[in-house]
Amino acid sequence: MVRSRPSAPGARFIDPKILSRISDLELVARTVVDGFISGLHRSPFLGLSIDFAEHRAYMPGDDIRRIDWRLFARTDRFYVKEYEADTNANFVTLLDVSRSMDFASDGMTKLEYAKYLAASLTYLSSKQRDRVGMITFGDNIEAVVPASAKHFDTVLHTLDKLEPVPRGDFASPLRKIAESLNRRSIVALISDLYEDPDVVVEALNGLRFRGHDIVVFHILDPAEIVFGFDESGSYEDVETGDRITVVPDQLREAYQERIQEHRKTLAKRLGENRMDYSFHDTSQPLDHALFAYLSQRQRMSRVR
Amino acid sequence: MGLTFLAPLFLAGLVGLAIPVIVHLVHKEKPEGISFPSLMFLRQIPVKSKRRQRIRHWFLFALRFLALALLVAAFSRPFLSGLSVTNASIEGGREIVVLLDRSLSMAYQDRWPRALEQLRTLIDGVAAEDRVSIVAFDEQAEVLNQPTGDPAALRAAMGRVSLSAGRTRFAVAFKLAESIFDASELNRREVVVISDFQRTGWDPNDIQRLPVAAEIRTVDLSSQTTQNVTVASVAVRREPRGDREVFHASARVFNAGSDPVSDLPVTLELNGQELQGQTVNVPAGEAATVHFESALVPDGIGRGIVRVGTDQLPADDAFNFTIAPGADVAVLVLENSGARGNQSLYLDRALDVGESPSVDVTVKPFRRVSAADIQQSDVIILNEVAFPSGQVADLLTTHVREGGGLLLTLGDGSGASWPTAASTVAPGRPGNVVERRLERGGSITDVDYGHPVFDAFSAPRSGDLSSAQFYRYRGLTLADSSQILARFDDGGIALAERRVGRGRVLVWTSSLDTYWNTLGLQPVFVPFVHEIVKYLADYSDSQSWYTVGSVADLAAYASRVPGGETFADAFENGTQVVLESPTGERVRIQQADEWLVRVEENGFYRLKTRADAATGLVFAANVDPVESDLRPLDVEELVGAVQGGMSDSTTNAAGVASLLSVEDLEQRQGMWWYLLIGVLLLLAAETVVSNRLSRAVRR
Repeated sequence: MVRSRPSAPGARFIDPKILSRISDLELVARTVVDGFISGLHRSPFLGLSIDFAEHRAYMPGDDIRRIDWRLFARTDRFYVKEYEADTNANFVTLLDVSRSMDFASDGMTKLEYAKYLAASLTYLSSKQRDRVGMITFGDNIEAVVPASAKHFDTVLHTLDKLEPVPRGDFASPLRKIAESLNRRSIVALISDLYEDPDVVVEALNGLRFRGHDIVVFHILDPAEIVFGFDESGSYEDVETGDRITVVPDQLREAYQERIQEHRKTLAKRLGENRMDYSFHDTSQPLDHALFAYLSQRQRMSRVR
Repeated sequence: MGLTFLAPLFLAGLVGLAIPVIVHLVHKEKPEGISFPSLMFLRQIPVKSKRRQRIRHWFLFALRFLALALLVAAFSRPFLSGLSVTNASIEGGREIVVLLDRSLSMAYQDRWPRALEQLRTLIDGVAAEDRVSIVAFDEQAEVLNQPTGDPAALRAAMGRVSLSAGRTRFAVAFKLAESIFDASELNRREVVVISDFQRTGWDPNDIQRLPVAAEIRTVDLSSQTTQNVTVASVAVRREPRGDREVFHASARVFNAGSDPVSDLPVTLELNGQELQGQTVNVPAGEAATVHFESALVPDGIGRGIVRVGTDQLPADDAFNFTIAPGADVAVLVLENSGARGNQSLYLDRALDVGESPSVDVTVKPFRRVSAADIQQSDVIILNEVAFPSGQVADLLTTHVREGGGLLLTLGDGSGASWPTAASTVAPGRPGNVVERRLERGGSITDVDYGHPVFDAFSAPRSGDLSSAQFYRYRGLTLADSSQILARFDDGGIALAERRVGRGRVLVWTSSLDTYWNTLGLQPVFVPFVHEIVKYLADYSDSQSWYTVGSVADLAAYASRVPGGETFADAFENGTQVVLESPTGERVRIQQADEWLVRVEENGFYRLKTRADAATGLVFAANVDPVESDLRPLDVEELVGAVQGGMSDSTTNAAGVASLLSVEDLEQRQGMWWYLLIGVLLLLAAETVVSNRLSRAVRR
């Protein structure tokens, strides 16, 4: 009987529980992304987020050192070569660090998952020579790492030091972020999105209208999706401290319907507003999340 | 008129009714709730996810609560205890018992006149059909009159009552009131207590409850602040000085008042003459001790008084005691001519110790004894001397028959063959010497601790007679009328007694030095020979004073000789023996049991025969120091304790209602029916209201 060989460590399906034991964020990001890249070798999706270098007509005032003399030789026209560095995008992660993210029904918390996801995305972007930055927020902006090609380590350091904070108005910190992000960026929002979809869309529109490309990663714990609790009792909102008495068996179905509806509404509303929405639960391997995201980006880019 | 319940325990149900409400109001959810990231979606689900219930419809809640409360009340079977449901025949006279406190504390300030004034007012208000009994009480209660509604008879009874020197005890008074009620046919019963309600007068252990129906009214004559200093006790110590005796007196002065006193004069008087005076400062509620200089003990019985200042309660300002020269016990020890040098040494030295009594020991060779020696001695000890014959034997027999004591010790010199004269006096006939040397000595193991000789050793660690080793003793063949008081471990007799006439004879079967035993070296030896001598001399300590209310045993004085003959002789000879109280009241002692006399006055009592009216024996009596504490008790507490919590002092209605039993009364009123109807009406209203409300909610 032929048995299939198990996947090499760090190749494809990396269990989040195992990842959670690795404290070095860079190592995790490398493990996830390198495995992901090698798994998608020769993939048409590679480098999707990088704009090709281009030539444009020389304009008075341009540095003459940037004129592509070879092209001038062929065409007898002055073209200025746009360097790759100039076209690289800003990649900014907006990470929700409110207390609700610090929840885990088993193993890894949503915040930890979000950290690995942010680290992986940052690493991926950094490898593509994008400028990477990060902003964490709860009820206010907590930490800001400005986008820079050299800030990968800073982002990792910031991620490493994160502590959950109380949540307030979801829109308020996003509004401030929108005002502070001047350069067009790819903005990846990682959050559990416990907010009315209209509020989420409205807050993110503030960013989108300034030209940012928005990708929303919706992270939930499996328990938040299926509400698999058995114990009746007082359930406490970790954000507000409010309590209600709940008999899980009686409301599980209704809860599941509502969370599904929430996800659908978010996907629909964000899609309508040309924002990418990607849902993940913390039991999924991280490279699944990346794959799903990049696939979606590719599909969406064709549509756009 | 008051609402009473036949089954009040059901009212506990009201508490049960309140429990859910209280739990709801005070209930805090357990702090260890289950953490969940957001309740956003759970809150959106109606009904199944809910906040803690709040009472929304207070009116509905009140309706339901009221219905249940009425249901509980109905089960408790309420009735109006004072409701006049009966006809006029149950109205009528009252059985009133007036408890008038006449204890010593009522002499404080103007309490007694006020008490009499209150009693007079009460008598004036008595109706003709009422029956009133006046009970005067201190620590005993006395009914002054037959129950009557005649004011004149009541005033006459009131005229007979006077203050006493006794202490207060409410329990005896209530007990007497209860017995009066028991004999009464009237159903309206009242107790009127006129008292200063001393705290010390009520012992919570005195459980005395009146019938439920009796109403208690109180006339409180107490005052919150009092000033009273008393001499609580006096200690007198005698000691010889030269050929006379002196005594040292020390008095304990207690300030029972609410203010401290300073420079309070304290004096010592003897036979009406002031000997010494001192001043003392005593804080409120505390005591101080005053030591007086030594003074000569007077000849005869001296009357000593320690006085302390003067205050509003003079009766407890003086403390009486008696002081008299110590009565010596004359002991004559006779030994053979060829006796060992220290044969009586241990005995002599042991009896020389102590003052109570002071023992005068004379050691003489037997052959030199005279008739006068025997007649002047209280106790004669034949120390290893063979029982004599002839005239000396007759003298000894007479001595014993007339109340003297005789101790026979058996040793080498006592021999084994006694004359027949010994058989009339001696507890037994001596036998051969029992040798215990080979067994390393025997010991005393079997002792009659109930006998006065050994009574002092009966308590644990009060002298160990078994510590002495006995190498030899002489066997004893017991006479018929004798009894064994102690035995050796081999069963041999150690000490035996025989009563002859009014006297006592003891035989000790071993030596009283260290020749045959080691008893003389043991600590127990001194008290042992003292107890023997006190028993043989029939010596008893007389008290320096008695407390008012206690019983004086005059038998202790019966053998005293104040005049020509002892009281006992006088009593037997038909001479009148009289006890004269401090106020001059004379009681003739006519029967033997009257040697026990209750002390009712403070001061000096005198016991005398008509023949020696001038002299007589004197003993002192003092008030109980407890009575000096004038602090009042909580009257409500006393009334509550007496009534067993069934009603309070302001409840006046029990008398009328008591004609019918409470069950009958409740049955006649049938209030529970009305309550049940009320419950049904409320429940109907609740149904209507709740239906309307639920419809409104659905809309």
